[in-house]
Amino acid sequence: MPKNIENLKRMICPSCFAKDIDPIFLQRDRRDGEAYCLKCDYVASPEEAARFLRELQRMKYGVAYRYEAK
Amino acid sequence: MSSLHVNLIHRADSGPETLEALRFQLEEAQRLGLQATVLVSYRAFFDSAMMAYLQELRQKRSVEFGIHTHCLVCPDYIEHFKTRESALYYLSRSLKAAVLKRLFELFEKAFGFEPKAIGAYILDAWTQNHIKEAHPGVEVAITNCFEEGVKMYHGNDNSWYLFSDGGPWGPFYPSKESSLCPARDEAEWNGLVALPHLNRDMLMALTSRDDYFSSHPVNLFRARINEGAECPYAFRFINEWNRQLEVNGYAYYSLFVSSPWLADGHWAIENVNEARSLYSDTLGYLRDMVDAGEAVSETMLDTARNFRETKRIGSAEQCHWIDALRSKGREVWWQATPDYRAAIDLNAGASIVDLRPWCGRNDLNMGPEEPALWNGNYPFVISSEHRGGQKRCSQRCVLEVGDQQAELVGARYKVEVADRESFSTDRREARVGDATVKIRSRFDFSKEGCIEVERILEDSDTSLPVRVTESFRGCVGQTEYPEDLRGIVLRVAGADSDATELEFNYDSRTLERKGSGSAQASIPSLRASISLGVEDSDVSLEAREGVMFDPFFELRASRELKPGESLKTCLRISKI
Repeated sequence: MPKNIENLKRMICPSCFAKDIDPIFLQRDRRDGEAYCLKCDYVASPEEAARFLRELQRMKYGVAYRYEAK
Repeated sequence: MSSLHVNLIHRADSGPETLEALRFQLEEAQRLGLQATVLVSYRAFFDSAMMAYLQELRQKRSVEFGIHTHCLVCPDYIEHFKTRESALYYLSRSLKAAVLKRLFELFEKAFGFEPKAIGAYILDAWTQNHIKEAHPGVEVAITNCFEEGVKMYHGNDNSWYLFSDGGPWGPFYPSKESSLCPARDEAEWNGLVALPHLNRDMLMALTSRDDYFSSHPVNLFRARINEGAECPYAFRFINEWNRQLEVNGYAYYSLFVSSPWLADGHWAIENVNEARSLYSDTLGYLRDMVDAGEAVSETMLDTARNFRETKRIGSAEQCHWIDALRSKGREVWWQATPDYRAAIDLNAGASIVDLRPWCGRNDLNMGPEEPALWNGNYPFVISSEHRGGQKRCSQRCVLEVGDQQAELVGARYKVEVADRESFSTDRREARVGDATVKIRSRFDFSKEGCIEVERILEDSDTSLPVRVTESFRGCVGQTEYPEDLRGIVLRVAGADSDATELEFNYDSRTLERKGSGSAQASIPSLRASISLGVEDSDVSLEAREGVMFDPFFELRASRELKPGESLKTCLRISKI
């Protein structure tokens, strides 16, 4: 794996989550801090990804969810 | 006994993490006084620490032991069988028999007796028959994963080769011919009581992934439906299964979390302590139900024996599920008989949205020498989920006033009255152009192999007649891709002998007739016939042939109704 990429263990891809696909953990590009998915074309800042996931969970299940980006 | 029958099932695998997690699970079961079953996998027999722990349990006589057919691959397995195939159900018949023989030998050597319970994700009919023949002491087996197939495959990044869509959701008497079809009578029964791998959310089974939403508390973390260790849905889900006692007269609940899900580092779990906390809370909830007399804690063998005392072979099963996830009141009705399995979506105008013609007893044996090869899904003739939604593939009601038309699919029904052979919906309004009609639906399952559907026009605010059509749009399929419909014979026939018919060739043709009779589709590949029949001289019958871009056949019965009148059709599912 390239050195400029680290695994965002705790953050799953909101786009894959919306499609009922098993948790796909987002990757992170160290140069610009962006989080991105290896399976689909989702790219966002970690904060935006966390916010989007939270809203998707509310939409899909009617529940809020704590999800802290690390 | 009129209580929820609860099984608490575990799988013993190998490795120190899973051993520690299994200890946690069994200590929790013991703390709460719940009966526990441990199904021992092939790999576990070669893990000395695991076997030492299981021997401790054996000496205490505190759990039921059986065999599980998952986790086969280990050096001994590869040496003996020269394969790395991890799924028993995908081995050849000779290897299936050899692996089972070895598993039973290992078990008997370790524990000194023959197991009566066996676990699997899928056991095809050949394997079940073989088990009963070679190991007649086995009484109960986990044989299928309800509605695990196409959607799970996609959700697992197209990597989980387990296809058992289209089977029963609860305990049943499996037939000798086809593993997912319940036996009609003693002669058809293979001698085992079949249990499902987990209870599933019966609404999410239609609309989403029911491995996420199941009696597996840790999978709720995988679905991201929890908040930390909190997940109220887990308990609403149990309550909904408990409510099935009123609906079905029998209810079963199987909590089966294999220990890797509760071991640190599982790929789907962020915090194992939270997962364990929810697991323990769920067990505690079941314990409270036992204390309140609402549930009874059993081993698998107890459940099988109680089931045989409670349910006769060939009896029907019902499930009336009210949305437990969002708690917004959406309802679905499932009906299973030896001839068919049907799902009726009340939320979509009380339409039949899934139909499996079990009467055909299709061969679902799997393995390199079998025609089905990998695909254990029982074929459907209706699947709204895999064929474009309720308006494209279902049995539904269509309304016409003048030149205006509307689908009853837009009406969100609820069950108003139900018994074990029928249910009636509440009354709903439907807009047809400028007119409003009020209509109620009634389903009756009391006649063998038939679903009677009655659409009752209670009122309308127009002086124009209301034409009500019952439409069955069907096909053949096991996945979301279209299959060859050639060979299907469409027919319209009356009580007299003047039937007309055509062989399906995607030519957009229509057969019509007036008066009592039926519109039929004979489907050789499924060894099944579907017939929409009506006893009514004013009815019009049609059988329509679809085209390549709309690959369905449609059976229609329609007539004009005045308020107070109804259209009653009988959908007959029979073997050819």
